[in-house]
Amino acid sequence: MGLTAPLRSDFLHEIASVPRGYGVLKCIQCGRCASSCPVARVVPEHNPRKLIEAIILGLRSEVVPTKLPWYCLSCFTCLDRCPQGGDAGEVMFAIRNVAATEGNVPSGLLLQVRSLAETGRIVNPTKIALRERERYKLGGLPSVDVEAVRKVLSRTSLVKFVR
Amino acid sequence: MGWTMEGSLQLRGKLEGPRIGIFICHCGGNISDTVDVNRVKEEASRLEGVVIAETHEYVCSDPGQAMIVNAIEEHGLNRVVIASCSPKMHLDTFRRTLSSAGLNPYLLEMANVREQCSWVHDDREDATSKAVDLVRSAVRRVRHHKPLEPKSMLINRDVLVIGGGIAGIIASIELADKGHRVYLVERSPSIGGHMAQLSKTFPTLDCSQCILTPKMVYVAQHPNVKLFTLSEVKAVEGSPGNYRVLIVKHPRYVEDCCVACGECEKRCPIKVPSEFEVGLTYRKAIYSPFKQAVPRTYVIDKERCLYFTKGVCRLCERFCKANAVNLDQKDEFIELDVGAIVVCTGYDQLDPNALEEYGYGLHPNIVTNLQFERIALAGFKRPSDSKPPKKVAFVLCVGSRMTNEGKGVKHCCKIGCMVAIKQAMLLQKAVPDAEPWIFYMDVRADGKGYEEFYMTAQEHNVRFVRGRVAQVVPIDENRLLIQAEDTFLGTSFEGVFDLVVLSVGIVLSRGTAELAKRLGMQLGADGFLLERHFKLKPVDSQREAIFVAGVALGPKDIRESTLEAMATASRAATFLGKGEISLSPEVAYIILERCDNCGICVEVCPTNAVERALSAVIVNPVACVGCGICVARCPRGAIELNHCTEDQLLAQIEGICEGGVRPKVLAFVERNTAYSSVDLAGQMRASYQSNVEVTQVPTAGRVALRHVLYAFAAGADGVIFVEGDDSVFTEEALREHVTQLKKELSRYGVSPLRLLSITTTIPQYDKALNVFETMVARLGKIGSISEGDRLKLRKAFEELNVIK
Repeated sequence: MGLTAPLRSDFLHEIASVPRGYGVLKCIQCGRCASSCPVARVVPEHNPRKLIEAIILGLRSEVVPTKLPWYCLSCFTCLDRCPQGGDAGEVMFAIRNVAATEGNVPSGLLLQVRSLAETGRIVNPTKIALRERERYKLGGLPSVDVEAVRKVLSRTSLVKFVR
Repeated sequence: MGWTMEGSLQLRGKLEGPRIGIFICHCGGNISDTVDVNRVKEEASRLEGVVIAETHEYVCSDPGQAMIVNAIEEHGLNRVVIASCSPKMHLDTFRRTLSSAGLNPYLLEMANVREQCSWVHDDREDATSKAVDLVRSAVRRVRHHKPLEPKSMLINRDVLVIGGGIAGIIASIELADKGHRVYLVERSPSIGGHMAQLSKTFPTLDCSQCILTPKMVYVAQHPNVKLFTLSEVKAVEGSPGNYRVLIVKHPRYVEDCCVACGECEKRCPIKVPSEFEVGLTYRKAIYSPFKQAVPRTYVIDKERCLYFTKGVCRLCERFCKANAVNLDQKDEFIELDVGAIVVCTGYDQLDPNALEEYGYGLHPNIVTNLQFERIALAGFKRPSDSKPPKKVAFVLCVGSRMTNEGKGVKHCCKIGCMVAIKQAMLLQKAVPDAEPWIFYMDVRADGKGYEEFYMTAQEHNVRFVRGRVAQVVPIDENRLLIQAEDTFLGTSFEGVFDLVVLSVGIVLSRGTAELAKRLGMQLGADGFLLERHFKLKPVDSQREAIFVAGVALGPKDIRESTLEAMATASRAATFLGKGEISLSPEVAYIILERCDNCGICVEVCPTNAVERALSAVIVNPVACVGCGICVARCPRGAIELNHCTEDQLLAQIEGICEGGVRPKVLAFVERNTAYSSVDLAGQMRASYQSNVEVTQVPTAGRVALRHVLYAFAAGADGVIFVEGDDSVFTEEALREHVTQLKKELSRYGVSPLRLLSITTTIPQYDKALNVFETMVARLGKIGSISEGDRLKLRKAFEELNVIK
């Protein structure tokens, strides 16, 4: 990551103003999130501290259109450890919301949203799973009020991704 | 004192009408940037009785005070109003100014247009309008001021020092050397405190014991010092200059004839983790905490001793050649009379078990920095296998500087950085090819010689990694893995270490909060004891003649603790040196011809200052704290309170309620804690609505129904009581008072929603501000009181006031 443009704080405040993004302002770059993060151990690209550093430096183009917002698994270890109560795990959702509104959504997530709108379930059981349920006498799948789910979706910005 | 003589100017105050001078301070822009002081001056000069109004850049400065003195002489002033900062800041200053001009100091009134106006409001128009209200209130009130004379009382010159750590030892020595008799009370079996546990001290690497033990011996043998170990303060009563303290001295079970031969210790079968060694080694149930302990007399741990737990053993008794063991000792209660008290109760380390990611307790080689001091003194052996540790990680800010709740504390421990650097360098000296690593956020080396010490460590190859350690994981019997990020390199760091030293945060010592309550002291938001003034009275507590030194006030190192201890000795000696204390004349007195000896005042007095005599009651001016509760409750108007008389209180209410912005909220604020709390809101530059105006009262208990009715009649739309939590008018009393007032107000057609109350401490100013906001929001809905209703209320007030 290099400085390619003059420093601007717009991006920092943009993230801070998105719901769940406020904690970004508290970051003191101590690195406890990065060194606590289990994803960072296997995905060297993913480093919550560096991601927040990029936000602080205003490097929008190096964050929003990239894969970086989407690695976090939301285990919230960072939230537990952050000495500033800055909650990198929460900030991650704010970054995702910004990325998503600009069309940067992983295809797998899109499938899940569509599935939710169509069937009321994020993940539908496979045929094998249904057979297993039968074997253990778990009964049929509980029914879902799809209309109610769609109503909820239509009231949120998620509806955009259904189409 | 200049103002004890009856000067001609004082007589003028009585003989002629009031001639008032008003002096308005710019405070170098602190006031004048927000308040139009010239408009305040114009408005003020039109008020009745005002002879002259002036502004000045700094009224408290020498030229500012000279202006007042000159004006008093030139214009024959007999009353002075100063609109400036809080009276908490400069009331005494300006009272002295009046004295120097031959005017009785009680002929002064201050309008707080800084902390409670310019610092809490942004809008110039609103702030100016409020400043005018505050000045008007002060002018109306000062017209009724009378000259008052303080009385004096002899004081006791002895001092109680609580806590025998380095601060308590130094404070005791200083005071004893000055000639005061000192009672030094220590809870544990020996004096010495945490300093006795340390190896060497930064940045000079002086041996801690070598510089401390001579002081311990000196203080214990000092002819003016009486040492009480294993003792605690149970109760305190009395007043500044004459405190009576109840001490309980717990039994040692060993008489002073003990020669500390150690024979008993060898025989004792019970092993207990040693407190002094921070649990790293064991002591016996009969023990001496450490070799240089003062007093050297052994002590029996009653909780662990077989005789006390199971009724058997008594081996120590049998083998003691000096016959010193006495298992029949009992708690001893001792009463001490002292004039002043110095509190040096020190600190405890946070419990590192609460921060589980650091793995404290999971592995013997994860230790606290205090434990490492003991390890250093025992020759640098790691606990797991007693081999010298090569790679040692010093983890800073463990539980310090954490804002997430429930995990740690916000404040910096202030010593952790320097302790780690010192320990790293000691390790390097003792263990060849040792590799100390320090994981830090910011190295805070802000003392004399500290930065140089830090540089030396860097030159000696102590490795500094900027990054807060995420977790410590045991990997085998002897070794530990540390995960952190090297934020300078932007790489993750993982390393294997032989020993991990946690720089644990520090908090007020256990039991000090309860002690503070007994002594009438306050705790600050950081959990440490609160000083009277952060910069100018840094070792005075909120209570007169009680002083504080050392870490009980906030984290600091030995040098600073010593400095504060010396400062408390000086402050205590200043207070005691006069040999007498002047008693405030702001006390209640009985108007004999009205008193019918009903005794309500005797019942309501919280300090037992009102006593029954044959035909009337009498007020003891020493015990009276001037709270005014009796005045408000007297059904016949037979008690008055000096300096908050009926006339003065009504005038100040009328002055503040008249004019200004509507709807108006009048806050009656208790003069000590609550007033300081509202001032603090200003110091912190918090803000509240400018239609909330504050007027000082001794306590909310001084304000009766008639005053509240009068406030509504005069222009208030909402009334708030703010009381300090340490006030003699307790939270329950306030609640009862307000409930009663609300009932009465409904009877007069005033909505009970117009009255609110809150009890607060100094740091919790947001409590008061929340109530201000609630009242303003309510008034936004229910609106102002109509002029017609105000007239009715005025009539009701007059009827009520005549009956008295």
